[in-house]
Amino acid sequence: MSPFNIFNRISQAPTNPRPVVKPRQFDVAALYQGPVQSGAAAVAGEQALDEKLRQAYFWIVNNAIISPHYDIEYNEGPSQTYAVGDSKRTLTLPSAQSYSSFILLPLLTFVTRKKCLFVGGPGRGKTASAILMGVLSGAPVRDVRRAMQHGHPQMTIADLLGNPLPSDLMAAQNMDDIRIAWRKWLGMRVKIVDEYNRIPTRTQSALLTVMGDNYAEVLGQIFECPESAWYLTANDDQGGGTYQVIDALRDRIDVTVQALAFNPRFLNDLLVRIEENIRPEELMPRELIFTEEEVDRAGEEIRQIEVPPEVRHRLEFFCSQFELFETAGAQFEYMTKDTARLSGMDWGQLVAADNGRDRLKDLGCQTMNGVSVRNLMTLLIFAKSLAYFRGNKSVELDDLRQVLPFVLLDKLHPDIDAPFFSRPENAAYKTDRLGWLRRLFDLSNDEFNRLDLDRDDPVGELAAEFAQGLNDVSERDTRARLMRIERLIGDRVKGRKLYGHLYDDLLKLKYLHQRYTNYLKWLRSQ
Amino acid sequence: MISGPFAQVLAAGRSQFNARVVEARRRYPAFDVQALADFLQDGVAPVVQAVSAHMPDRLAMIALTAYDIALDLVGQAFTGIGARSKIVDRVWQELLPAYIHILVNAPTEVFALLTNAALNIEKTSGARVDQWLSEMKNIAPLITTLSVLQATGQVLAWRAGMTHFREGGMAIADTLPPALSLQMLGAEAGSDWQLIKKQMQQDPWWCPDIKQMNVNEHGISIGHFTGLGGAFPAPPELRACEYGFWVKSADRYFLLMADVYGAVLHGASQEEFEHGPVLTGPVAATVQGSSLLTRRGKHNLNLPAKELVLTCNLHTVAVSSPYTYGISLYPL
Repeated sequence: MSPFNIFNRISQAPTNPRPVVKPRQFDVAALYQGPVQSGAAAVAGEQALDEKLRQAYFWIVNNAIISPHYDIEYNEGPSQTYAVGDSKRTLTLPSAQSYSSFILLPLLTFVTRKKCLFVGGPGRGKTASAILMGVLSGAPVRDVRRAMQHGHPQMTIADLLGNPLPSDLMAAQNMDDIRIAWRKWLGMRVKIVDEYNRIPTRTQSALLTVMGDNYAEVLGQIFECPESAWYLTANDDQGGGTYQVIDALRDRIDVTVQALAFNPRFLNDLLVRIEENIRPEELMPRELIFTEEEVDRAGEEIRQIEVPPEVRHRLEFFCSQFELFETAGAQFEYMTKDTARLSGMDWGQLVAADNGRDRLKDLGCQTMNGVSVRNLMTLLIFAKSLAYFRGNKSVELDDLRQVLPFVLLDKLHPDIDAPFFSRPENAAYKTDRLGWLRRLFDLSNDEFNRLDLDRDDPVGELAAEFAQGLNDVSERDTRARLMRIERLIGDRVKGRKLYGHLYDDLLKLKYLHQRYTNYLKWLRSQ
Repeated sequence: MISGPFAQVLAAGRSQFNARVVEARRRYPAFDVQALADFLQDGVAPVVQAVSAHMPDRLAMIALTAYDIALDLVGQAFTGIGARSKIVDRVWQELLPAYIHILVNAPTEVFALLTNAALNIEKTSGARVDQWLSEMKNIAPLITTLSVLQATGQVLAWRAGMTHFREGGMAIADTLPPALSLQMLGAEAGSDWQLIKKQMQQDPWWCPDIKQMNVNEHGISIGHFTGLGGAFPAPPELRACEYGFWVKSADRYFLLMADVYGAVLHGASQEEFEHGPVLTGPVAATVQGSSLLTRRGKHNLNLPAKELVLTCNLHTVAVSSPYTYGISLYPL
């Protein structure tokens, strides 16, 4: 490589050095490593993919994006904080490597082949970032640009997916004879849909099939799309485009990232870019390109990242806060917000009837829905991918805390009329949904700590005992376990208000009771 | 003022050279154009001048290579008013002209080897870059190929106090012509290289250079208080290990290595200090009053005897105390 090669330098230092006890080796060749490239540098061994991912992140942050905002904060030890302005908002100087969500989340989306929505005002780099991800997949910039779908009010299904060949339309004797000229973008490993909220509703349904089921259909002909990462952009995420975005399509989006404002303090960098006519996407170093096989392998490695029980329990506890709606169902299992929503009744009326609980303390009162299975799966995979990106083998609570707001941003809907939002200190959460979700998770963790569930979780113990299997469990032991479950339920419901986590505990105990009851019946039949 | 052949090369490729400066300014916002001008005049021009005398047909190519590297060095503030030291200037002014006979055939490699090596030695606490520069310059007439230059630089770096290169340096010296190895290590001409090598392997505190032996026979002091430019924020604690010593000072951790050529401190982790492999064995030194007694002799310790700590590995005793931020090392 030329010793002076603009935009093509990648940090040679580990991007996230971690202390490990391993035998010390001092290679005399290190004497000649330094700022001047000799051109005879030894060929590096196969690079770890997590390191390559970090290299890609830092190249984008340092070269492609002019003013990154470090909003994914990590700390090692105490950090410096400042209370700023009349509102006393906290400015934190993180004491550990922190990241910009606008780059990091799309990168994690790329490597996990999920779907990412960029939201924000015009001209904030949403499309440019999506194009960078396309280039990262190895596609030429020109192809990425050409394959990008631009939403507009006249967009038809044929515009989106492809046209039947006119000659076949005339000559075909049956539908199978009609060949389709599929649009090239369907075969791309990174798919970009710009301003997706300007696509007409009918065309959105066709898009939903491609996004959800990974195939396209025109006149009975099927095109199977490759596994790919998706990037969509919208000027806002509330469906405020030309057309209302259908709920199913919104639900298919895994993470939502917000393009933050440009800091004019970086204007000089912008000026240089204009004067020198630089387009970062055209200068991405080849070493950063991920082949299809590498993305497969990275995905496999991400799935192997462990979610420790102590982290998983906190996520279970958090999610259990939101689904309960005590007055919505007469039967225990149906006391959920979903039941309330499906009934079509006025939300305000239903909420007014739900009294007796501390609505300020109950986190469930802050939302209008619960967390879906799809959201949970997305949350887990993004937490794993963030841990992988940071070079860890297991997910830390902070990883979960950082990705959670971006996954649930458009999924967990706040009830703005809830008492929590009427408190002056919480007023900002009405508009700052990311901040609210993070706060919600923190409050859930506080409650988890207060209940000392890390050490005292009898439901978890019963579940763990059941997970060991029923082989060789005697009738006597089974009866004893049933008794314990019944006693625990009796203890839990005695004189207590019903909160979300208790509701889920009771349902879990009911499940265990039913499994033991069935097993007992089988034992007795032997 | 740049003149002569280099000026002609610059004039001929003026637009190309100017474009490279524009690129550099874009990459390095604090790029100092004056520093570039100075470095071209004081660092690059002498090299180009020497090339012009030695192999004029390689002049343009070498000038272009040197120019690109100069841009990088200026951009990263390795030269100029804001430079951390003058070492890069010294390498280009003093050392590179001595290796023109190799440089003309492998310019990028020679520029990189010598510049990077000098920077690495200079930033290693305890290493002696002046000694390395001087010895590299003196031995230049004996070096005829790039590979020998590379090996020579490494052996002399070890000799200049890069103690962690001991094993590698010894292995490399073994591949060189014995006469060259003997000369580099300060042995008398005609000595038996195999014998010398064996003795050096057995005793890290022995070398064939009597002058060097005398320097460190009386101990090496390393560390010292961070407030006075040292490495330790608190009096250090030590654990002996096969490489040397694990050192803890407040919340900072180091690996201390020493031999006859000097001592160096490398960064280490808490895990290494607490869980890294350690050596345990009898302490092969004693303290009598204010003196340390080893089998090699008696050393005066300028420390209170109270709470003095002796930590020994196979060849070295490290003396530390709660009353000092430094560590004194003596051969056993």
